[in-house]
Parts: sequence; C-alpha cells; structure tokens
Amino acid sequence: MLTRLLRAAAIAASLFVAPAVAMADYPEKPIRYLLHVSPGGATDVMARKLAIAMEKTLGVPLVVENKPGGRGATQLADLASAKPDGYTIGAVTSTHIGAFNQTLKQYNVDSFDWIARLVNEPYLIVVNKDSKIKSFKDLVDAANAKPGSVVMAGFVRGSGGHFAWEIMAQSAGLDSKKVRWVPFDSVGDAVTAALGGHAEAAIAYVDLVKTYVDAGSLRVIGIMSEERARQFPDVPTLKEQGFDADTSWQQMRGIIGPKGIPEPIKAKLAAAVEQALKTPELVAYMEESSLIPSFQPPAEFTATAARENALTKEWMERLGLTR
Amino acid sequence: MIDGFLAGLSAFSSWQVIAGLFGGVVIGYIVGALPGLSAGVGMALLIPFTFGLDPVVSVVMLVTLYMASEYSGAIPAILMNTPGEPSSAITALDGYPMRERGEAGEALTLSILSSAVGSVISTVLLIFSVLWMTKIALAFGPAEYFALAVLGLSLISTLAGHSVLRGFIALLFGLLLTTVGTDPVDGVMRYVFNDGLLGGFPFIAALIGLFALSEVLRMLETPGNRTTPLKALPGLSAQIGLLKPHTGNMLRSTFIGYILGVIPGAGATIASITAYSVQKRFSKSPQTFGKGNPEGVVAAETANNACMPGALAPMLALGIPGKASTAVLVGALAIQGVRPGPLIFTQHPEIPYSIYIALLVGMPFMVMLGLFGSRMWVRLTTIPASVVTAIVAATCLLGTYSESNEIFAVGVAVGFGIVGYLLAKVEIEPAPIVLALVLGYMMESNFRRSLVMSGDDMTVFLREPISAICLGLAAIIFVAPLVQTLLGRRRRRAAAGETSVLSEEASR
Repeated sequence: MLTRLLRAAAIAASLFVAPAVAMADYPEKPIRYLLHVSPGGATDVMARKLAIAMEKTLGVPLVVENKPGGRGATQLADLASAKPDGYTIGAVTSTHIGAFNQTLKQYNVDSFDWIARLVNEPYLIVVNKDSKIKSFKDLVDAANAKPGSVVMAGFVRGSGGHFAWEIMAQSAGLDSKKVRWVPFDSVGDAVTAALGGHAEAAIAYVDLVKTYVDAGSLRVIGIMSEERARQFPDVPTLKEQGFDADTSWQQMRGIIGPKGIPEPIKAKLAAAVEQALKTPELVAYMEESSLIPSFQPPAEFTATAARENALTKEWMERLGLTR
Repeated sequence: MIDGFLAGLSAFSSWQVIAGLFGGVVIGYIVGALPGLSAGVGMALLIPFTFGLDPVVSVVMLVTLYMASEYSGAIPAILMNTPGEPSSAITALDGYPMRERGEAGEALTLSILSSAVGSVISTVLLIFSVLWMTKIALAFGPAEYFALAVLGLSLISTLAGHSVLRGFIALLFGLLLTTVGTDPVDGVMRYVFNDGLLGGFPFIAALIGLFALSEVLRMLETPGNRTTPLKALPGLSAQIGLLKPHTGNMLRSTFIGYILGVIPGAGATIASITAYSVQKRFSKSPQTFGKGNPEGVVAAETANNACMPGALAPMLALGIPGKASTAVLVGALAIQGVRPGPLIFTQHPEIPYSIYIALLVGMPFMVMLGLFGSRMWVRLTTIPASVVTAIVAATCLLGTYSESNEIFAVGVAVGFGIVGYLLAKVEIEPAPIVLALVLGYMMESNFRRSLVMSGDDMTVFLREPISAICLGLAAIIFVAPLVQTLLGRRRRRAAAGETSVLSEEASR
C-alpha cells in the first residue's frame, strides 16, 4: 500500500515537474513517431516525408516506427502508455475515430492529445465505364426506380467511407433498402470490384481511382467537397448537382500524442508540422497524391476531432452499429 | 515490346541496378529462410532504404528479393520442418520426410531447380500475356472468390493422406479457427479476448506452431543426440539430371501457379496446395505423398515460384495489389512517383521491362547460390538434434514476434505448437488445417458479400459462369475419391473371387 502510494506520488510529481524542466529546451533527443500501418502504404509514405521535413525544423531526428496489428490497437497501446513529454507522437486518421466507437472502445477522443491536422481527402463515387449511370442524379433515379438494383461497394460498415455514403444517401432521400452497402476488406478492393463490374458503384478517394479514370475504365459521378477536384475538373460536386451533403466529412490525417503534453511543446510540434507542410517536397507529394493540405493547430484539431467523433457516434447509432 | 525491352536493358547498364539485383537475391535468400519474416515483411523493411534510389534500382531490388524469398523458404522447410514462407509448408510435407531418410541434398536440389523452372516459364508467360491476364483478374468478384475457395477446400479429399475422416476433422477444426476475429461484414467481434485477435488468429504464428514447434516437441521425445545419416550428392550434371522425371509435373504446376498468382487474393500457398493435390492425382505412387515423395517437393516449389510472376500481372497492368508483397511493390513505386496501372506501359515502360529482365537475369544467380547451398546447408542435418531444436525454437519464436511486434503472436505460436503435437499423436496432419486457415476467411467473407449484393439470393453462385464451373469442379473432386473407393472395393471383392477360382483350378 505504502509503495503504491509512493509510486503514485512519484508519478504525480514527475507529471508536474519533469515537463517544466524539459520544456525550455525541447526537443533535445529523437522523437518516436508511431504509425498504425506497415511500411509502403500511402499513410506510411506521407509520414516518412513529413518526418524528414520536421527534422530540419526541430533539429532532432523523428524516428518512424511501424506498429501495425490489431487494427491500430498495437500503435495506440504504445502511444497511450508513453510519457506525455512530446518525445512520442503518433499518426492518426479518421479510421481511428471510427475504431474508438467500434473495435477499440477502451479509448476515446479524450484519451489522446490532438497535435496537428495534416491533410484531408474528400470522398467520391466511381462507376464502371460501361454503367448507364452518368451522374449522381442518375444513380438516385436508378435506385428509386428499382430498389436494390444498385449496390455501393466500400470499406467495412462503420468506416469513414460508409458514413460518407450514408450522408450522400440522406441528402438524396435514399435508404439502405434502395442502395445496399457492400463492405470489402479495403477501399482498394471495393474499387477493384467496380473495375470488374461486380459492383455498380464504389466510394473512394481521388488518389485511389485516378489511374483508372485517366485510362477510361472508371468514371467519377460526383465528389463530396466544396470545390471540384483539380484532377477531375469536369466532375461536378454533389452540391453543384443539387444534393446538400455535409462536405466537412472527409478522410483526415493528423498527429496525436499521449494525453497531457504541455501546451508549449504541442505548439512547437504543431509549428514544425505547419512549416514542414510548406516545404517543396511535401507540397509536390501532396499534389501528386491528390491530398488537400488542411493544417490545424492543437486547439482547432481537438475541436475537429470532437465534432467528428460526435458525428461518428450519431451515425453508428442510426445505423445500429453500436453493438 | 522490343522498344520496352530496349528501355529496360538500357536501365540495366548502370552498376547500381546490377548491385540492386544481386543485393535483392541475397537479402531475399535470408528473408525467405527466416521463419516469420515473409517476403512482404522483408520487402516492407527494405522500403525506407529505397527512398533515395532510382525507381528502377529499387524495383529491381525488391522484385529479386521477392523471387529469392519465395524459393528460400523451402530450405528450412526441408531441413527442419520449419516453413520459411507460408507456401513452403507444403514443401515440408514431403521435403522433411526426405531429409529424415538422408535425402536432404536431393530434396534441396529438386526444390531450387524446380523453383527456377517455374519462375522462368512463368515470367515468359507474364511477358506475353500480361494484358490478357487483367481480364482474368477482374473476372473475379465475390461470388467467384467464394466458389474458388470452395474448390480449394474440396482438395481436402486428396490432401487428407491415409484417412479421409481425419482430414475432415482437421479441415473443420481449421475452419472453426477462422471464425475468430472481426466479422467481415458487420464488424462484430467474434471470440476476440485479446486485441491481437481482431484480425483473426495470426496466420504465420499458427503455421510456425503447427509445423516447426510441434516438430520440436516431438524431437524432445527421443533423448540423446540422434543425427540422421546423409546420402552424398552426385556431381553437378547428375544433380541437374535429377529433375528429368518431373517434366510433366513442372509444366502442370507452373501453369497452376501462374494462373492462381494472377487472381488477386489467391496466392502462393493456395498455388502450392493445388499443384500438390493435382500432382498426387497424376502420380503413379500417390500413396507415398506425405512420406517423402520427391514429386510433392517439385510440385509445391514449382507452383509457389510460378505464382510470383503471375501476381505481377494485375499489379503492373491494373495497379491492383493482390498480395501483401505486391502491395509493398505498389507502395515502393508510389514513393518514386510511379503509379502502376493501365498507363504504366506507356508512361513508364522501363519499370515493367526492367522487372522482366531482373526476373530472367537474377534467376541463374539464384540457382547457382541454391545448388552450391544444397551441398552446404545439408550439413545442418549433421548437427546434433539437441542443438537444432534449441535453434529452431528460438528462431521460430523470434520470427513470430518480428512479424507483428506483438508478444501475443508468440503465445499463439506456442499454443498451436502444442495443439499440432497432440493432433499428431492421433495422426491428424497439419496440412488440412493450413488449407482451412488460408481459405476460410476468403470463403466466408465472399459468401456473405455475395449475398449482400444479390439481396440474399442464393442462385447468384450458379448464375455467374466462373462461379458455377468452380462449384461444379469442386463437387466432382469431392465425390470422385468416394466413388473410386467404392468401385475399388467392388473390384477387389471381384478380384478376390477370381483368385479363389484360380486357386481352385490350381489345386485340381
């Protein structure tokens, strides 16, 4: 009992004292940057480029560590148990917020500090080139004329893409009887199903479908964003087509840390992120990968995460996915 | 095509590309031979080092790594019953019994030579058919994948060894295990008592447990430092001559491997299992499969190496990564600003063609290493069993951990090791369990996906032609051995009647 008390006191003391000492000359040793994905994917590539750019500003190396496994569980467990001293940070995406509400309920948005948002990716709908559907209105008409004749392929139920579709469907007055959501193991698999003509349509991102659209094997019939995508200047937004879907619902990527990082350290990290996103290498990469730079500092990012979490919760309940 | 080859060849004029080629093969040998470190993981580990490299150098290095590791998984499979790659578990079925008979050198020779033949023929097929193969890759939707998985599971009737009943028990046990994890359609968690199970039982950990650790436990039964005798290998030309009787087997297995490689989501393990089962059907001595029949080693190794160029077809021509390893390749190219897909042959012809050249040029180097190695590595078998078991156990556990960085996976490997050991006591073999672990998720997820798409209409599986053909074949494969057994019994009875008549005549 006594040792436990002592230990608790020591931890409490270190929480208050240690950061105060460390803050002045932060950072003075390498920073661990934990990813929930294996090397080679889009999130990994972006993180590595960001790490190189941030290293120049901060003066210490950012060591990227891949911690895949348990659909984010391995990364989050490591992150949550790390000291909140700014020497351990992690990648975050909208998928994490989905997981907080579904598979990883031991965490929630308040379990972590939200340091900076990096980029956004709007959702879009693609159809096979041979499909009769030419616009979002065509899709709505086809679904209304013959409920169940159109199926929408995408990632698992409860994923960001699934909610994106539900938001679009709601704006058009469609329900799950008229258009069924078919979950695939990845967004890429869903796009492949649309390529092969097995699914009428799929929800995806610009980056994932660009080569197929350029080659003429897929067609984009609408994008859920305020402005048209630079890569597809001829594709009207859903709003332009007369459907008022929430364009703030996009796939985001950012940086989080363990709960309780002192404000000055968070600010320093966020400033380094903001600067890194302006380097020519990252600007070129984001452009090439069709990512929209959407930097947010800690306070705004925390608010964004809370809002996204509330929306996720609401949709989970509405769709009966809260089991 | 000639322009493309010229572009590819000119890329090979730089020393960096040649260095990448050799480096890739050597690293691939190591990655493949280490259990737990699969081709995909090895390639992923190399990615950060390819950042500053030229796109051709990095892709050549990764592709030769992939090629060599698909082979070298056979080395520990044959020598220590420890599959270095998932697909070499099938090589171990006959390779390890061969080694126990002292034929390790012969098994290793056959494995490297048949790997080379499978890989070269398959690469040539890839060069000429890459654009047609995209049709096959895209023809597979949920209904087709379900039917393909059922077809794969029907192979149990040949894989089962001497007891069909035991084979079924093992298969059902394996299928039961695949129900653990996140539900593929609703995302509901099933039997997930640890976060490590969210994606189901970690496959590589289970495989290492079932094969290697259960063998380690079995070796503990015999005390003392038993070593197996080792038969000497003939000279080099006679060594290559060992391959002669297997021509038909290799051609069939290459074709099976290539096609299954093209279909995204199938892969080397399914290719090996299929080629092995088919060869058993064609073989004149099917009863010795699983007891050290060289045909089994040749079929499994030819198929898993033929699978790899096949997997490159949808990756290059469609940008669809069908396997973990090709997904890493797509990522590596994306870092360099090259997008595999329909436009790669016009925008970056040097990439596909330098891959072709790397596969063809890297092969002789890989074979030389392998043939030399078949004389070197066999010496492992002369090391006392007590030392070998300790090393195998340690590398297996380390490999399992490195695959996922989770200690839970190590527990899974140990658990499966004990289960595999106990099942061996009642003569239940691990191969059907592996078959179920590979295909169970594919079958379930695509079955349910098809039903969501069709609105719970079961006839969808018979309306789609590919699906209907696969299911029909599965039914035939499944029923044929039963009919054969029945007919055999009748024939035997008739034969028994005849001999009694003959003996009567003789006695007169």
